[in-house]
Amino acid sequence: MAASSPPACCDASACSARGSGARSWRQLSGRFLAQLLLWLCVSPIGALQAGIQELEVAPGIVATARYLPGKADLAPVLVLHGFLQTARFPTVNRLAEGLAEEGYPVLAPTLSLKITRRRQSQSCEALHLQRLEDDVAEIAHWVEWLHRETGRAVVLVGHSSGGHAITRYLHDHPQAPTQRVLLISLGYPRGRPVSPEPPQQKSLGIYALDFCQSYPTTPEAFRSYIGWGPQKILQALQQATVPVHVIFGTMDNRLSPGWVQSLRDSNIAIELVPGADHFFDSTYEFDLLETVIDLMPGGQP
Amino acid sequence: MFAVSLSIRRYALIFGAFVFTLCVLLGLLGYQQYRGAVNDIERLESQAAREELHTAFLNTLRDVREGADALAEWDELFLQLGNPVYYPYWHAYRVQNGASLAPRFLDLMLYGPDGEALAHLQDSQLPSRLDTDGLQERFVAVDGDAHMILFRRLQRQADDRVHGYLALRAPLLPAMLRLSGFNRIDPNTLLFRLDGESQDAGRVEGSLRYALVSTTSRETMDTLVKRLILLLGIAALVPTLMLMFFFNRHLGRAVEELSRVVETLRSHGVKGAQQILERAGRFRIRELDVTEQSLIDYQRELLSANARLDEKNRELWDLAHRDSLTGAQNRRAFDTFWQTLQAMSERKPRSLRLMLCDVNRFKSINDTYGHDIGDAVLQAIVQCLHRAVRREEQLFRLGGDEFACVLIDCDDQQALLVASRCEREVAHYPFTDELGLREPVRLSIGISPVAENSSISVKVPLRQADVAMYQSKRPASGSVCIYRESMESVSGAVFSSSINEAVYRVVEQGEGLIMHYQLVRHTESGEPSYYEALMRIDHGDRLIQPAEIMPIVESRHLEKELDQAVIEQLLKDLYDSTLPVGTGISINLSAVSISDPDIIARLEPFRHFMGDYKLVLEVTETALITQMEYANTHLAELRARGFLVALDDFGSGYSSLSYLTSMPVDIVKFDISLIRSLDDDPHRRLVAHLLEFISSAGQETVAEGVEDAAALQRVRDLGFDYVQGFLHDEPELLSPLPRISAIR
Repeated sequence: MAASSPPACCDASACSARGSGARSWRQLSGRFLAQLLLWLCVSPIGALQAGIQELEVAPGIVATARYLPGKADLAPVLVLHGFLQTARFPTVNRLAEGLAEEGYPVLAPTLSLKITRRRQSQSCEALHLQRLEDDVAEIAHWVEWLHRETGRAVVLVGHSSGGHAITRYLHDHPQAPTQRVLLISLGYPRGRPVSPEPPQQKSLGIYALDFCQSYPTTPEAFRSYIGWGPQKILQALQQATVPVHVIFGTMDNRLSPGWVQSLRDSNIAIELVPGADHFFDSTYEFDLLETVIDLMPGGQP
Repeated sequence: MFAVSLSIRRYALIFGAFVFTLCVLLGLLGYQQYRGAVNDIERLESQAAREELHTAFLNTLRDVREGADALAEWDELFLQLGNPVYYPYWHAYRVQNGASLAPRFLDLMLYGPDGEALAHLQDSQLPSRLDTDGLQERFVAVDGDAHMILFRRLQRQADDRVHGYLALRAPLLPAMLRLSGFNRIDPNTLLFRLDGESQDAGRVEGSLRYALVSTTSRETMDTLVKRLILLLGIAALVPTLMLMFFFNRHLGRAVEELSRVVETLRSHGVKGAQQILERAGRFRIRELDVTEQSLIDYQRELLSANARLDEKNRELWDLAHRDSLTGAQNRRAFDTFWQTLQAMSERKPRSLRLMLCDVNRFKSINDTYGHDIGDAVLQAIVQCLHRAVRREEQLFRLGGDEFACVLIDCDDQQALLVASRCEREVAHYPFTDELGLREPVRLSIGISPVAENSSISVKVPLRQADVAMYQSKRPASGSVCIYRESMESVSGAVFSSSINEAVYRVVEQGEGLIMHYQLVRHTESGEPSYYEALMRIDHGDRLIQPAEIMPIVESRHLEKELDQAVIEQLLKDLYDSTLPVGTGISINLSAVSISDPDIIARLEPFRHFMGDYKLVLEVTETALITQMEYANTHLAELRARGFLVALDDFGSGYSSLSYLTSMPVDIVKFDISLIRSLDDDPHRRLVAHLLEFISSAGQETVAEGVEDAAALQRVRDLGFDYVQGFLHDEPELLSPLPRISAIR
């Protein structure tokens, strides 16, 4: 695995301390403008190091990530997109940029899904060859890269199935250099074969997976996602070595009934954003950002 | 100008034909203009269509290329290139059955970096292998369409490595139809006529075939224009036909009726025209009704004016052809009638007689009783003549007291009967009772037979009738004479132009008059008593005698003028002492001069010689004196002034015994006819009694025409105081001192 650009480093003196506690949108806006000006004046290095980071995650497969440098004293954040999306998906994109604006070094990878330098969201009907394990491996690569680049334990933030993959990552890599996990709209994949499953694991079949009603993939790949179900998720979260927070919008209608309660029952920390849906659209992005920032290690920067 | 006159219906027909032809020509012209405009529009539309097609073609190529560029970024291609195991499935599932290529592309083929297709697909028309060094777009003809084959290298940004190649097949026609909204091209007609395969986009574009979308519109427009032209033609023709119908039904009929009315007015007058109008009724066109009524009114006024004009013409004709005094037709009417008569005679020769008459001594009547009485006499004469002539014969007053009548189909005997009736009517007219005339009024009538030669001039019968009429005036002639050639010698002098000229020269210029003198001697002593002055007119080689002079003078009524010339000549002779002193002179005066009130003044110069000469006034033609009262008055006055009055030609037709008692007479001169008859005893006794009677009245007597000794002896025996005749003295021209000798 090789990085195409050196890790960004944020000048500690330039990273001012931040207050904590809930702030209103107006306060956030004013502060954003002030910090943007300050950052443009005193942190030119971060601006120079911003860009797309590439990482060969498999032979012939180069994955890409958008890296937004931040302050060196703030925890680096890896923000992972949801099912078949990219780092440009609005929810994660706004979140990444918001965190970056707060001074957090942010890395927003786009899972390759077996496509080198993938830039587009994949349709359900496209051929899907990736497995959950492949996603976890790419997460591991990017966490390692981010940790190496920043020298600090990484805060993992995953949206939807991105959170699902992170839970698997937590399970598979209990010693990973992470310091906190924030899972937004965390769910678990549900699916079934739409047509008779092919007898061989490498053969293609049509499945219904998550919101996709026609999802061509191999039985192996299908089961890699389906196999990491709610119980395993709950178990993984319970066994996590770092603090885990799960954030939901109260209007999220994609969640399986009782899932949130199951998390509560498993003593998983849950943060609810009133009124927000699965994607925290509209003004709820700021609420999400504020919640995420509040949940960052050390609270407000 | 037009020489041909057509009826108004024909004009209406010509007008209709003209309008119809005009409509057709205008329609054809309009359609031609429309076709020209359509051709221009078609040319512009064709050009615009080509531009539209060119734009559409370029847009299509650009869209296909952009689609290919976008598709070359499709992540799934790289998935297949990275793991081509499932490529056939993916191709079938995502390319052929899916909507991934839609709508631009029909097929897609992926190739590895070496140009080899990831899999050989049976149902793909794309090549299974590419020449990676010469990826050139090309076009393939497919059933009226052209498929564009494109190639793209599949690379990632920030990655120079060629992961593989992409081949696409894009049908252009659907793309063109999808991308371009054609305004001028009918998209259903759009197709490519490309032969085989080509890499030239221009050629492919040139192979496009199409039809203009406006064809249907133009056909519709064409139909509309034709229909519009037809409608306009109908719109023009229908009013024209209606106008023609109205023209024929009302105006044409009205004008024809009006023309018929005018024609009828001309031929049958107002009543006929009104009958036509009553049958035709009103025209329902006010102007024509007014015109028609005006025509009738004008015609009525014209007829009235014509009637008045006819009346005036008749009056004028009467004035021109009728004598206003007597009502008889005048000389102009006579000439016109004569011409008509000549024209009639050309067709049918007729026996004609011209009767010419005048009133004896009418001038004396006029002078004696005045012009009013003279006019009344003429009117009475005309009445008498009208009664006398036959109904078909017309009476003309040729002038003065002269009347003419052409007797048609009449011979001499019948003419004499008519003339006799005329005489009788005049003779029976009560002139004395009605007009106070004391003298009888008589006519002199001359009749001239008219030769059957129709071309003869009216002058000839007129002259002949005049000659006959003159003959009838002569003593011993009847009052009616029919012309005979023998009359020409008698009346020759009257109608001799040279004698006429000599007479007029005397009375107008006083030239040519010569006085001869014949002595009147005492019967017993033979001594000269006085001279009777006898006029002659010098006519060059001879002297014109009174017998030739007097008819002219009488016919021309020149008595007064001639007497004046004689008086002047006698005075001259007296002043020249032509006559011996102690004698006398006898002056012949006409009846007209005796009745003239100026006679006293005219004779006054003779009183200067009254001491040396005896002055005798001889009154001749006493019977012609119509105004005896004036004559007696004048004679009495002259006697009072010393003149003697002699009654001449006593015993002839001109002097009668009655005048001896009514006239103041000093001397009575017995006519030569009485003297010649003295050898007849009865006559001699009668003359003796007359002499006794006259002598007892204190009047002297003169025997005229004593031409021999026997006659002289008888005159002496009877006791005449004076004798006169060729026995002793012929009339002679006297020298200033005449020699006078006594008769033994």
